[in-house]
Amino acid sequence: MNVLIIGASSGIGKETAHVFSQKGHAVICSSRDQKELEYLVSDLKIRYGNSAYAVPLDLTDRLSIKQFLDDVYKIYKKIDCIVVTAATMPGNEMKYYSEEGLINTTMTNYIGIALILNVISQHMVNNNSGIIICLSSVAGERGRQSNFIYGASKSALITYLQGLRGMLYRHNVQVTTVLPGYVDTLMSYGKIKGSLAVSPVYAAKKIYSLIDKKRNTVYIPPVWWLIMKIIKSIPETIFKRLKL
Amino acid sequence: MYTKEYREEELCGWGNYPCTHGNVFRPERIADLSEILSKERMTVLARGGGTSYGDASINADGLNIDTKRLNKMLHFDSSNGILHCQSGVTLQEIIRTFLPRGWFLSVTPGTQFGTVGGCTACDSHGKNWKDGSFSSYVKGFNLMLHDGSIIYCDEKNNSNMYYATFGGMGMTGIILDVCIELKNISSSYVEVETVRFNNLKELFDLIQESWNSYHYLFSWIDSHKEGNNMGRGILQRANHVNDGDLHYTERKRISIPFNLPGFVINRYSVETFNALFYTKASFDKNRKRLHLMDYFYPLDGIADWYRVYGRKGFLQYQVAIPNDNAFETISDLLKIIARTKLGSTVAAIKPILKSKGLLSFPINGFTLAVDFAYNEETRQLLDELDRIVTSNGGRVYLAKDARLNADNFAKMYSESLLEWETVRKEYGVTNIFNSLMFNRLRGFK
Repeated sequence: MNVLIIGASSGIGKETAHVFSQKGHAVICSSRDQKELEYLVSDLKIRYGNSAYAVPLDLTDRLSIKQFLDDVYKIYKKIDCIVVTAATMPGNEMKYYSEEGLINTTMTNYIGIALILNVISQHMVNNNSGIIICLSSVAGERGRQSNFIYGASKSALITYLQGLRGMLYRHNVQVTTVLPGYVDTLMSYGKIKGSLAVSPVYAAKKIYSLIDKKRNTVYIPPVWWLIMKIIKSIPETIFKRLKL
Repeated sequence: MYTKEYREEELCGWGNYPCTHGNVFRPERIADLSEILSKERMTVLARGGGTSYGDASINADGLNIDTKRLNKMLHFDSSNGILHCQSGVTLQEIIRTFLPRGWFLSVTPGTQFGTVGGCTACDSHGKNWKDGSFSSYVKGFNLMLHDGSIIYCDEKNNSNMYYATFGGMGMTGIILDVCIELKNISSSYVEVETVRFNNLKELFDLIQESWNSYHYLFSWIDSHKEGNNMGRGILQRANHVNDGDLHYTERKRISIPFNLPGFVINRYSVETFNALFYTKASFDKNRKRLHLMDYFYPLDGIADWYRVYGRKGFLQYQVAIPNDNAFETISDLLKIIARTKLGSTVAAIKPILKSKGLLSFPINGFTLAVDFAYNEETRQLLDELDRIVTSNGGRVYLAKDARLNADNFAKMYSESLLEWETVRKEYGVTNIFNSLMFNRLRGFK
């Protein structure tokens, strides 16, 4: 398979690149940090001996996305599978009304990703096959006062993917939304107890197992399905009083 | 980009003594690390696999940089076996990747869970004493200094920093990536010959006899035996075989789920074990084929080995004694250890060869290593042994240490300690990189 991974330089994306490469697939690794991408690609080639490519991408730069897609389709005639793990979270020191935080977060977590999927999904429709696995977050399922700029971008992505799923269903294209809870990456590092989080290797293996499963929405780890059921069932009049 | 925060973690060495809490940051990209270092005002220490025995990889009141996710392999040249990889790559990852292709570590310590960066900073040695130590195969490395800047060190560029980093225990900076030379092999097996000996003299004769014809030498000794049988034990000498059978299979690890009570390791249990182990060797075939994993890393099969010693953990005392008086000094040390009956089941003697790092442990001579359950009696015994080691030109291995004092450290490493400090000053890293170990040892004059 020809696989494209968006957000590959660290965390879940990096481990996903490892799993796919180890299983013998060709991978294109994308993220902002070109140097780290080159390191990753060398690493994959040395360890597993399969093709791997680095194509840098800045999701906040709308105009560069077309160039990115051209570069990708120069390497692959056809993308069989795209896994999107890229995300950003406004820093703690950033107030919710920070313009920069809002635009940066929404561009990276929603608009940039949607721009890419808009194009790639067209190609998949034309080929009448393809797999889209896109990570959103459990934070996108309910707005919480502590993290709603991030949550809103993830929520937009969930809604976008729901629509896309319906659109591509009859064209034999799988669209799976992955909702991770706590994963032990730099995004959660130091903010939560390490023991509450699952490893990115676990998350990557789960993601790999979703290929051809036609699942719609998947929680990683599965216990988050239950946790979110409970959180979503709290009436808003009570929820707004909770310091979550 | 999200804010980068620290995580409080329990930090212990391999021996579980000492254990303390500290701030940890685990970069995933080089940029994460330079961002943190450029603004951090606390002292900093890189921590790899955490497989040094004592307090070398713990920075209690500063910041610990966990390098485990800086583990990318950057380049491999199959014409000369040189691997360029990041410092967080473990020896296990190298073996897993390269053993099936006919490459192995030129020098390896007794665990595969250490990292390339850690082995460089400790300048680890192995059973193939003739081949030198880890640094003999490190062609160069990139080092990050206190302000996030990066310098490349090898024999030509920043050569003083290159030599200061081997054995420097992380006090010269953060090793980012290393070029190491792997060794070409044609089988994943070694042929091991096991020979019993009745005392230390016989061991030294056996080693002499084996120098030229065996690649790997290792001996286990019974640290409780006195008199004519003092230093009795088993010598294993081995060579690579050439049968072309190259494969790697992941070994299952048995875990010790909880700390055994402190009394489990006592004089009688150790003596019983030692006697059985010694006797068993005479029933073993004296020549057998062993997989490299089983030969080099027997203790890696057991996770949390320290738990055998109970909650307090254990100390390993490893010293190197120069050739001239190696036999006499090791005899003296063993006499005292045997008298106290404090030694545990793990005790070993190997020859060793001088290494190139300013503070590298290996000198031309012999090394003795003995495990002790941690307690006050042990500490007193080891202080007494330090005096003998110091007056005989020997030294303690810092990668195993948790209790040496500053004065003895200064005497043991007097040959190049001042030069080492001068290099650190020149690069402005003196008060930046620190560890619990260095807190203890820095009082030297």
